[in-house]
Amino acid sequence: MADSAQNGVVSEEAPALSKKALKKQQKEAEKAAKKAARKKEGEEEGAVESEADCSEGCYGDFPLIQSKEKVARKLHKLNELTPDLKDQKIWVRARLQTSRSKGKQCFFVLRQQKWTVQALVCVGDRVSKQMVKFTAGINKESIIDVEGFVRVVDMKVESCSQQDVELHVEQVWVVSSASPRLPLLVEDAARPETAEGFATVHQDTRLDNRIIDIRTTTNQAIFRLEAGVVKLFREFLDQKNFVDVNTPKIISAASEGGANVFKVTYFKGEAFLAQSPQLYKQMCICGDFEKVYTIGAVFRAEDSNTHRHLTEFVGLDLEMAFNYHYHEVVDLIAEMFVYIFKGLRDRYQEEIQTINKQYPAEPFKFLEPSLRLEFREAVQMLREVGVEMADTEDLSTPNEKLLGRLVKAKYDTDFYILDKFPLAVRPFYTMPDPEDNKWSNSYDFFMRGEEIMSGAQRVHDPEMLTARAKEHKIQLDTIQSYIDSFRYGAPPHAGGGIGLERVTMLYLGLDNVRKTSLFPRDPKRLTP
Amino acid sequence: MGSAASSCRNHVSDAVRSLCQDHNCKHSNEQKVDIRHIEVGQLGKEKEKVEEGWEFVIADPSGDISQTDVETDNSANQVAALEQRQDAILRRLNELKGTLDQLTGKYQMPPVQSSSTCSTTQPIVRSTTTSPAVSSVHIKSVLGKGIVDIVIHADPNQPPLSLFVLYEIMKSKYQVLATSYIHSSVINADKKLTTVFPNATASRRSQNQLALSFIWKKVNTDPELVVNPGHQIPIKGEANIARYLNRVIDPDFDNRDIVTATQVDEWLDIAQLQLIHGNSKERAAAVRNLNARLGRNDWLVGSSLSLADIVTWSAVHHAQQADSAPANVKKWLKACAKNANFKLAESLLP
Repeated sequence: MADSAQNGVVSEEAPALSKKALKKQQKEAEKAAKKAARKKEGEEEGAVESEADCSEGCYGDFPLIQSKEKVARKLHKLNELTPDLKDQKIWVRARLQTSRSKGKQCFFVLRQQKWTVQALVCVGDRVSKQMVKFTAGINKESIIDVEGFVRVVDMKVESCSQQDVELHVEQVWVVSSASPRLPLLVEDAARPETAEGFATVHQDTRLDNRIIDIRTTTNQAIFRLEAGVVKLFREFLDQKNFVDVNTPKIISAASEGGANVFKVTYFKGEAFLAQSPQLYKQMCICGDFEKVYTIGAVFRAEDSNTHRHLTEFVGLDLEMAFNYHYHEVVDLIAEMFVYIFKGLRDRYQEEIQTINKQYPAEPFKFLEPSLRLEFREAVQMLREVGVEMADTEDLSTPNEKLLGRLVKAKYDTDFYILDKFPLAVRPFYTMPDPEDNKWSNSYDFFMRGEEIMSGAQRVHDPEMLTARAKEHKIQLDTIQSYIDSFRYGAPPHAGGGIGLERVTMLYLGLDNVRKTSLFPRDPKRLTP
Repeated sequence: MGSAASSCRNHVSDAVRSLCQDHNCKHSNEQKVDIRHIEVGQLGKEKEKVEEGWEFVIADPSGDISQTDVETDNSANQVAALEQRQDAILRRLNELKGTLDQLTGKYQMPPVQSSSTCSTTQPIVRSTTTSPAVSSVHIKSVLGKGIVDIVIHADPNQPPLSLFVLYEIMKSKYQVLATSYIHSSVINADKKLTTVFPNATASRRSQNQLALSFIWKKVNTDPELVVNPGHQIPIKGEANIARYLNRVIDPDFDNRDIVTATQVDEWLDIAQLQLIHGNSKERAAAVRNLNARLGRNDWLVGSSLSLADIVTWSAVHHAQQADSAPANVKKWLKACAKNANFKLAESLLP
């Protein structure tokens, strides 16, 4: 339609084309005439049929549900549709994903979250031609109520999650109709990116129309699994007597250095959005909570458009006082990750398989107990394959990836810990190694070769902290309150934080963190 | 193939290494060239070219030699044909040296800081050192560089018992950090395997010379050993891994008494091929063979416990021949179990 309109405009402006355009117009006029004739016929036919509509009252548009009455009707969930319900008549409410009519019958696919089932209306004793036509004409993505018999099928329905049954429908009611033109089709959005010859949906189109995009079974599974990560994180730490705390997100001073922080107006002055709950976690430790965790938004004003950076993400942070050695904390965090991975492997297998259908990935491998290597060993491993780097040089991103591959080849694990980083590459509040100042009591956790958590034993001695800050040439007055919080006795402590989106992405082997962020925020995207 | 082939391979790698060292001497500063970089794909283009060249030259002679017994000069049996072949090899090595010099001159090899090398089939960690007595110092020189982690992937249902005995022996020589990991592909692992090394995380990693990491997972029939994935393919089979660990414990093993080494190798082959991988007929034959030997001697090789006893003991248990074993074998199994070094492995028996 849009095309022809454009052509019309062109023909007016450019007489050279008018001949062609004229022909086109003529053709269109003919078409329109034919259409009108057909419509008339149809109406007549319809009029004839309406007299003999045997399924009158079994289909149509539902009046707007305004909570007028309470209907005592059990609506089944699609995942309940199994051969157990064989030949029973049931009601379901679901979205119409696709429909295909073929003469006297119409096949359609109903979708509910991550489950789909095939349904069928077929002209018969209780189903009229009009009803089939009505069903075929319902806009895709509309919410419909359907009543029908559950029938076991001979051939598995490969394209649906409920493969052993289909629904033979006798009533169809539209509860909420979708607009006839959709910005993207859920079917296309659910296709593997490698599928050749079929339409796939570009990432930006997805994100612009996130509300339809997240209806795909894959996305349903991704965000359920992501919720699972949070749930397992909480579960484990609650078992270990951690306290769930909330920390402020509007703060007066940049928590880590000064760069990469969002400035906001705060009445007549200005404030910053918290880059991490670091300071407050530590204050909680000084305030004798002993073990705390916090789950909340973290803001980073980094103008990096990469596959793994977001400007706002969900941070899962924990901090813990220990007795004598920071490895008490490292071991606990490692144990926590193993608990999360095992929980995902055992409780979310269905989701993982659904996601793998669209985004195939090798299953996430890990060891128990977790592999813990020292930074020096990592450098040695890299050197053995020809990487030239100094002892105390930080890992570059390519080296980080290469190391991940080497570790995987040797230990067959996607998850490992690197301990004892060079002091020079860590923040000023990192505790130096007791024996050699070149190293520090700090650690990074890696998943599939990418860093997901960075943590350390913190300096809890105000004098040492002052000295360390001076070495880093940090202006003391900007961090005075931080240093002062350790003046009233502070237990030795360590901790770390992970980004929820990144962990989910890497666990599933996805290629972009936007796939695991519901409404991602990056330097180029603020909506929806 | 057994011992002759493996010791040959040693010699080849020694020879090649000594070439490298010769070449090193020509540089005033201590440049180390690692011939094993053939297998590494991460290096720059120039180096790649050089490596391809090397691979081409090396591939040929090593194939030749592996059929030959280089040790003939030590033995009394000097056959003229063998001498001829030896000459051919030496000539070939000279050619190799020439090509190597040419290539290095041509591409001006930068110094590569690499230490451990490993031939593709022979399980020995070696490093290029400036000392001529390579085989006796290579382990030490590797250890000097920090912890070396030897990783063994093994099936939790078939723990390679002999390796635990070797671990005990290894402990008397080196500071060893042993850890046991359960891989995520294994859901219900035996508790015994997870707790086989208590306090695995207690000591600081870098204070140890060696790390021995057992990873329990589904492997294809045989356990596998990996030290340096960039330079080697995994070493497969319990007997081969035992050969490797034995040479880590005793780097001079091949140089001291070649006859004993060969006899040990023979028993190791019987253990691997007939007991672990054999069918019931082959297993029975192996046990009969064992019984005959043990009727005349207390131990399989020589007059004391050796690597042959350790691996064969493990294989007999693997093959589930321990209960039905004839008298001599039973006696020998008991004698093995009395040794303190077998205690840990015994504890893993079902």
